Amino acid sequence: MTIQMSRSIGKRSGVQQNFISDKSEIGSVASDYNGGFIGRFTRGRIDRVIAVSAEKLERQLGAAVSLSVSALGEAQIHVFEALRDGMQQAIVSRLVASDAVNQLLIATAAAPAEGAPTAPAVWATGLESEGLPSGALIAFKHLECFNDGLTCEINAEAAEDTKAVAMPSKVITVQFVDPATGKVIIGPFTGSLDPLATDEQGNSSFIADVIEKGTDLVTVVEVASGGSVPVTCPFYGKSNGKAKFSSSTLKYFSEGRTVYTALEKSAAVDRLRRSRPNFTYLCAGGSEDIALLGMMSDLGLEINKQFPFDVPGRLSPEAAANFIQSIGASVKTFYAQAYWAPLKRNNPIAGGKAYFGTAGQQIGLRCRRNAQINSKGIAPRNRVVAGSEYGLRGANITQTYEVSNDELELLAANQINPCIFKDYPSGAKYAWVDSLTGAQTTGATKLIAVAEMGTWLDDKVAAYGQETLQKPMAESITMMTRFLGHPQSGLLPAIQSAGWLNPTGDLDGAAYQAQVKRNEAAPYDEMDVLYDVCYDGTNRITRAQQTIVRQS
Amino acid sequence: MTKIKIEQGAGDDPTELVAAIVAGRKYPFTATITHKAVKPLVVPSTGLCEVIEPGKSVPFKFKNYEQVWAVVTDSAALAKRYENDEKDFVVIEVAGDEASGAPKPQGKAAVKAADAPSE
Repeated sequence: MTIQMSRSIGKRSGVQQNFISDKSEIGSVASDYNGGFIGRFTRGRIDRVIAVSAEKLERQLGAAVSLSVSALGEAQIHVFEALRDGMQQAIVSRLVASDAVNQLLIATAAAPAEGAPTAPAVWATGLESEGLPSGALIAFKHLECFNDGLTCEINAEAAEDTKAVAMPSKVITVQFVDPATGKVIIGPFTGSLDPLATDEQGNSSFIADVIEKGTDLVTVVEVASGGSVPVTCPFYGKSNGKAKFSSSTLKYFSEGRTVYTALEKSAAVDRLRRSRPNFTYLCAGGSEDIALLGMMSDLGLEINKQFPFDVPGRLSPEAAANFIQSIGASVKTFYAQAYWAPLKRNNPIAGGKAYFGTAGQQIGLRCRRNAQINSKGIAPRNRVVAGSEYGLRGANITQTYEVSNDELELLAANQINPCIFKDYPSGAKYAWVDSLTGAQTTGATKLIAVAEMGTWLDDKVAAYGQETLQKPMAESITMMTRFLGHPQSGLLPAIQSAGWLNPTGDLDGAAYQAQVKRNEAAPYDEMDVLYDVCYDGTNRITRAQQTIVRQS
Repeated sequence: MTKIKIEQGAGDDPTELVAAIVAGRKYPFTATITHKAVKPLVVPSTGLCEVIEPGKSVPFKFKNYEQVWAVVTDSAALAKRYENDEKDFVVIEVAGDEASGAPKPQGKAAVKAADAPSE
């Protein structure tokens, strides 16, 4: 083949073809369909957040707990409803007390003692601080911390010496089974107990390396030096053509307290702060915990994420208003959005009828809306999840409190959005009848639609701003100017065409203006990005007047 | 009568205060709550669905350990929210003496319980 070009040319004659430079990147905020949740669950990592999908809800968070048993079971309802109604992934931070203990899963390969009918137990648990007990073969740590235990299984591959005599094996297969479903959820992994062992390609086949390559849910903590599996061990080789597995369900994780100190709540909130992947909404899982609600709201403010939360539905409107006032300034921003649903309905995951919040369902529906992007990648965030187009989903719903007009005024004055029965001409439903943020203002930020659009716009600008960092100043200014205002591909024209903005006299009849320039005080390394926008609003109040005139 | 005073910061480690409330008692048991906030409060963990006026003693029931813990942490959170530095921002009073032989509260909680005036 004749190669027509080179990648670098000095003095010789030829064609230097440089590497393709792709500057067509559009960028996206993929987190638009995710929510960040906090709550108590019976399964889930306790060292960092976990991403939960609808298909693996029970596998990852454990069996649902009835609200009759524990009010803490509400968090899982919120995750379920959000995933069911449109959220792609739940980013979950599990509340856990400091007295929780995650013990090691320890396998021992012992042959039966002489005269003994059975071999000693293969599987046991042990404290990590004590390490691998004497005589044990290998210790694992399961990081998903299942309250209901984990079924551990191990087999050793039969080995023979040159004379075809069975000899102790160094190759084991381990797998871990969900005790609730009986399905293998981690593994199988086959590897050697010898740290120097390699496979045909020369890669390490040491069991710790094999497992580390295959999963981050289990780690090998320790392998016995020179360990092997004796021929008489109960899990050595095969029986009737099938690998002999020693299996045992170990209750290795002790959850400890299910009530939490301020520090423990703060740690769970911090796990959300450090979360990868990203998310757009925060949810406290129906918690009534005043400190936790305050912390989550503060986090929303810090990381530019909205925080729809629930005021307990069993409270009267007056008590609901006082509840909001009790939490205080934390929820008085446009990031915090309070919902009050005086409704009992069937628990969709654990049965029984109870009060539980609607924030999870709100998040699901908002994510579903966010997925409906137009050709320029803009979702109809100017349409709030409220009013006649959205009904609360649920079975056997009973409204336990009939709200008077005075009480609706009180709720609105305290920025609480009721979810109540409403007979719209298009059909009766339990609907979110208002869309107020916690901001105590008469300005636009009192509207959830404005919070939706404003937070999204800031997220986009901040994300693109990252791309401009460490580039030459003039190039950065050009990049950001094009990003914001280019007539065809710019962000601001795109959101205007999506109906988010409204022309205003304050901007000389325009709906937005943007300016990107060097900072006057620090022109070499600071760039100022200024953008003014006038958002379209939400019709919350319609005033109509009929006037009857006299016949003439 | 056991009287437990709750202040800002009590939610950092409520173990001792909770122990002082539950010591020797069987669930459910009745308690009263009073507070010194400038406004009426709602403390959902008490199970009360109505507001609690400042200075007014309101009875409610403790049904389990978790609820006791939540009332203490919520009360501490409210003291913080109202920036109230008083040691007795919220006072929980539990009727009846501790049962004999029941574990006695230790440390800070014991001091607070001992500080309470005898009825």
